[in-house]
Amino acid sequence: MLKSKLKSEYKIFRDEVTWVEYALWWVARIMLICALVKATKGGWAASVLLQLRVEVAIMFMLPVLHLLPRKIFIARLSYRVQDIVLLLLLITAYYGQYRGFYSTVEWFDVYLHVSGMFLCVFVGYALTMALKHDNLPLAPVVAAMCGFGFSFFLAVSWEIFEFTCDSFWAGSNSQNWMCIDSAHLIALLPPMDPRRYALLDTMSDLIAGAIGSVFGGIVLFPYVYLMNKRKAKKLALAKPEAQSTDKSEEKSISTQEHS
Amino acid sequence: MAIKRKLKSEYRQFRKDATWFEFGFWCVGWILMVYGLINAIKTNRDPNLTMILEADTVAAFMIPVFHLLLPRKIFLARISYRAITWIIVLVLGAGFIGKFLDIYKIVASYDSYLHVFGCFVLVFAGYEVAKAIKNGDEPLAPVIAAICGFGLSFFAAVSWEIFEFTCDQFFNGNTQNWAFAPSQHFMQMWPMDIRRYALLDTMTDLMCGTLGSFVGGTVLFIHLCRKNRKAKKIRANNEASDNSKAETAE
Repeated sequence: MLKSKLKSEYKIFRDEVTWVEYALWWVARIMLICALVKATKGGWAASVLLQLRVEVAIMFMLPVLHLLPRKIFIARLSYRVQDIVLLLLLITAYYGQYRGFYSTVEWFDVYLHVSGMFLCVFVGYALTMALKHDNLPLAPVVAAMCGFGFSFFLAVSWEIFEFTCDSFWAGSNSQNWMCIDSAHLIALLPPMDPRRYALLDTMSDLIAGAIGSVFGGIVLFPYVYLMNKRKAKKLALAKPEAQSTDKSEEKSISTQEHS
Repeated sequence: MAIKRKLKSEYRQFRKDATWFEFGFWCVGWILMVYGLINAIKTNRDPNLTMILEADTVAAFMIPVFHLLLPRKIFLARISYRAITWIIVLVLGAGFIGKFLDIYKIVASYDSYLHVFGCFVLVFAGYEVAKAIKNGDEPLAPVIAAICGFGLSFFAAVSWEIFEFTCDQFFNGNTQNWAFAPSQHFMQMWPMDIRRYALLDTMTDLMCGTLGSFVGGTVLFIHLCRKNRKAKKIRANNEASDNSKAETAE
């Protein structure tokens, strides 16, 4: 049974993913594992090491979830989602945390939220397709709404997660309520009560995420439209071939009967 | 002539989408909002309150206006009349009861209850918007409808927080309740750095909204599954009776 499950998953994997993508997955995994090993050897802070360990575990989560029975929707999630997950982990964990881009590249967090939510629209679309029990295509406008909406859910969930971490771990600053490196952002805005500074990072993340989600929704629409068109063409090509093989089989049967 | 035809077709659509009981509720909601606005202006209440009541009153009348003024090829004119019920519930809860009657100050945590209930209602409003944008007779599958409603409710929740942040930024307001200082009792239960107080209201609003959206999405999914099952039964019964009629005719 395990053998037949692995075979069927391999078939689905070959349908959805190219070998180039698969190779890139391993490049990303090796980069992050090396970063974790170096950070551990370098005696980095326990909280950062914990985050890196969790991120390495997430990199391998999806393929493991695919081993669940297909009636559980997570096992039906497209293998393509792994591309997006690894890209996001590389940007946040490797470049953001390990290479220190959060502190050295101005507005890195904002770029991350815009691009992250853009990609999350596609993750939302993949989740919607997995939650559906059939393989029928989704209308492009409905797909865009589902992806767009899911990406807002992910943005809010992320802020709630950060707030919870800051609430339970003393000294945690996930929501940047301490306003470290926020001088440029504060200078951009009209003068405000200093009591509002804690809101700045969260609200700028939500605004940046909203922009990314809107762009993602706009791009997802033509993407789904073209994908549906391509699938319909494939099906149309497959139908006449099936009909012609049926007809040729009928002919050969009838000629055999005559002879 | 065109206006007469438009009014006739809109009346037919309204009779399909809503009941007279709902229409009665809308009228009560409209009267209350207009009364609240006129009263706030006459009694010289806080200009912020008047501004909020103006916006809420406009929102309460928006959908009928879209239906009458816009052609049906624009999705706003295709939003079901049912959505007026949801909008009036939200506007009454926040604007009239919350702000005009000052229940926000009288009932502790009213804001949190409103966010849970509001996002629950927004799932259904989001579903109506999704149906209008889709523009087809084929119904949405229950899971897709629930995802659309759920997602659009989060979009509304985030948009609301962004709107409040912008108002506070440019009009020196306190809509995000950033000036809130928690009680001693709260601080004993959840000790936190004083600099984080400004986040409390916004984050509790988002958490309450998330809860409301989850419950709303689940309820919408169950409701649509039941509706589809009923419709299938009716269709199967009709087909069976048509077949038996055809057989007896033969």
